[in-house]
Amino acid sequence: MDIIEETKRNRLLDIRRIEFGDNLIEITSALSIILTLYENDDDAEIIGACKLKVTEGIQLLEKIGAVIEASKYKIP
Amino acid sequence: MLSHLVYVSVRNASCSAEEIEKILASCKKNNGSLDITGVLLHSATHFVQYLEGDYKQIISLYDKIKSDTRHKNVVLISGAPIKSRLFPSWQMGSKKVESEDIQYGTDMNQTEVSEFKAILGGKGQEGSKAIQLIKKFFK
Repeated sequence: MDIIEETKRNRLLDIRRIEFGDNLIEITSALSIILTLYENDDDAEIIGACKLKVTEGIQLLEKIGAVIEASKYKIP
Repeated sequence: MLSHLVYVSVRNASCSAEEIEKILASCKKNNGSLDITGVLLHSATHFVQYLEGDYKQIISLYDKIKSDTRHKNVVLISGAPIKSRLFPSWQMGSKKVESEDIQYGTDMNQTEVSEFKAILGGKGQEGSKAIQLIKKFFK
């Protein structure tokens, strides 16, 4: 496996391991990382993993009542 | 093989300014012997670190960094071979990125400071698209 491939594999694992925590700051801090990757990465697998995580983060925001904040992270 | 690596992470609330000083002191102490150079950017909520050196050394360091309790949700955003170092004299430069008034906490020369500012300002860097992303984490 070359460096580029290994980096992609590590990035994918890192994204899947993200834990949001249970408060607004922790959730939005993690979401900002995922969303930036989602908007800038051009690998379909990475984008797919980000999309899943963003959805998870939005659901957590809604669960704690941060509905307006959650709406800022909606992705197509 | 000479390579670079960039990761972003979420700073734990308990990680104080003193803790960041300890991180930088540790980098300066240890990175020299490993021939690793780079820069650490930090805001109230995030870290972004750029490392360059032998790939085996920097990926091994990355594995250690991931287990540091001063941050979490560490995500590798870039890793690739490079032709030459961007920051050859930085054992670990640092910048608090929330204020333009804060000085760089490192020993780099004025040319390197200018180079780094140019990178953060969007200057193209061969083989390192991720560097352009760094500033986006701090918008």
